[in-house]
Amino acid sequence: MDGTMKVSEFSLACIILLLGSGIVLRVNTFPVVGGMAYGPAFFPRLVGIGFIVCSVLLFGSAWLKRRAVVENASERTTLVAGANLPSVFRFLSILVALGLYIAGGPVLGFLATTTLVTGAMFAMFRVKLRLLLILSPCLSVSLYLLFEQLLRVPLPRGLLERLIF
Amino acid sequence: MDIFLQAVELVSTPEVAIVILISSCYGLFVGSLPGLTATMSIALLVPITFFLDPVPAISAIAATTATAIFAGDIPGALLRIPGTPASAAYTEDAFALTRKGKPEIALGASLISSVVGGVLGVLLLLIFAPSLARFATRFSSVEYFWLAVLGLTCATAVSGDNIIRGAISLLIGLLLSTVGIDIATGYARFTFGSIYLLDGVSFIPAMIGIFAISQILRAAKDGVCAISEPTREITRLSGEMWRLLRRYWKNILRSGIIGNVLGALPGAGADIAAWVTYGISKVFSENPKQYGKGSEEGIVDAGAANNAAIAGAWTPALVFGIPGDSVTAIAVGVMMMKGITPGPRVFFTNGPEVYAIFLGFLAANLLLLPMGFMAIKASRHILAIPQNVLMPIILMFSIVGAFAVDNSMFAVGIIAVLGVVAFMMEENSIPFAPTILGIVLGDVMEKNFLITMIKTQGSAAGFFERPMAAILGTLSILVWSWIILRPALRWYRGKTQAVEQIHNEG
Repeated sequence: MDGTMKVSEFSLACIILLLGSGIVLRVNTFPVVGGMAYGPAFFPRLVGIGFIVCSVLLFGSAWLKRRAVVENASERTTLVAGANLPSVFRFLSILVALGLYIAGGPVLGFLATTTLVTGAMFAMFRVKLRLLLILSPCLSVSLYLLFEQLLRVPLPRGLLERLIF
Repeated sequence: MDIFLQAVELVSTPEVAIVILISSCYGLFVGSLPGLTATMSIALLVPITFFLDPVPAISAIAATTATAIFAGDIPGALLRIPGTPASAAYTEDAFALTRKGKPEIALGASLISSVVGGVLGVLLLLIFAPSLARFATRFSSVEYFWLAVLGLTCATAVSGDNIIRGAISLLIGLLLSTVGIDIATGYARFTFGSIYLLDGVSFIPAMIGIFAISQILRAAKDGVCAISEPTREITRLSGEMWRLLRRYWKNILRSGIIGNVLGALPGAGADIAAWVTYGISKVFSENPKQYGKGSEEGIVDAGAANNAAIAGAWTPALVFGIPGDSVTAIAVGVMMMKGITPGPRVFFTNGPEVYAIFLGFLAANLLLLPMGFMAIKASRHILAIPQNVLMPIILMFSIVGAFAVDNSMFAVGIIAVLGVVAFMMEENSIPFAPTILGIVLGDVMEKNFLITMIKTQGSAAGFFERPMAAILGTLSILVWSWIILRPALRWYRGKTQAVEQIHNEG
């Protein structure tokens, strides 16, 4: 458990095969336009077939590598390496932060959401509490001034900010 | 000559000088913010140009573009987040140099190549504008199709030793390019009912996700920051710049010219010019294995090309009224608003103004040297910020930068999804570069393929009927054959050598 999120060549080939097959099956449902030999399905189908070809080549490569490992017992390859729990937690917390931003932004508004999410991120990256309390609101206000006031980007206001302003 | 003197008079006013200076500062600032592109900075500038005379108004656009494209290299080199799409081609190299404690080489190479490439581009624009534009307008859909195929060939060529993984990356990019309404039939592909995907996957959120979010995810996963401690102060910058200029002047000239020509092709632009010259640079390099791992040559070539392409894009915009990229499309609109109608007669009707714009462009590129120098010196403060403080700040800039593209939280979702995809790709040694080029060129390739097939009524021979198409097509096929056959030849050679070794030992 070295913290990598690698998958084996064989697993990667399976994922790519599934993706390619999924694309080909999906594009088969695309409409055929009368009089046109090359409809909306043509190019995505080529992409799907490309994925399938790549997966076949990866299967071949995985098979050759496996044979080489068997032939040379001193060489070891990790076919599926797992990730340790703290790594997974930190990794997922970034995605949760993005999810909270998407969900919270329109409700709480830019300033409140940015302060909360930044604070949580600083905490996760183990920034000192005093610095966290200063930086989070300062960053929110700086971004607000830069994007909303200077660059005229309409940032989400949310219910809270609508009540205040 | 009279026209030229009138142009000098028009451009030598305090108003033009101040506008160019302020626009350059603005371009440097916006370009260095991840997620804000040169196009976005120009779009934000348009309301201000209402209050300016024609020459300062267009000079402001030219100055902002030139500096923004360079400034995009700064966060690319220091944080692995390209400020503009045009910097994406060599971000890996620039960041690799920073990780090795050599940010002055990465940024010095970027600045000197940008300045020389930019100046060269403007000079070529001055000399060859009419004939270059005439050449570019001869291209039809079939030439553009082959040009896109050549671009994708470059993507595979820059993908490293593992062709299968490079191809997978390219296919991911091409798949993303198919999202949205099909141009021929109007059918919505892979949109899953979302109105936000009807126009396809936005390029800027895609870039932010692939480069910035994947980097933040890596830092989060590792627990400590993924960026190693670089040099605290960027020193020896001018020394490195002159060393790089002396060593790579031929590369800068070659890429400047190619970038200028590519920029003149409508629809190409600075980012494609950077990718293509990066690929060419790798092919001609004595050390191709260094590409993606901190190649000075790669940065110099692509850096010169993207700045030279900016000037190139003005050629068809001015002479034929066909914008080479989105920036010149905005510029054409501003020019028409100011009473200058781009077209073949623009040199006769508004000659002094047009040449004054060229001179303003030249001044902006020359000004880039001292201003870029100062911007790089100031950028070292980014390095002084502890990495655990920097990562949440980058995350917030990425989120707001993505949101700013079309003012929707959907873009934030895109950066999250593509960030995870890019992270998993990197973990499994699948390069990013072909994906990005696939997104850019997939649409161009499909559109021109369909137009050609309709024109030729399904005949494949139509792809080789025109002389330029035949040359580009044959070149593409040859390069692809070489890419596919190279691993097979290598494998065969390895096997032959092993057999010979066994025979010798026997």
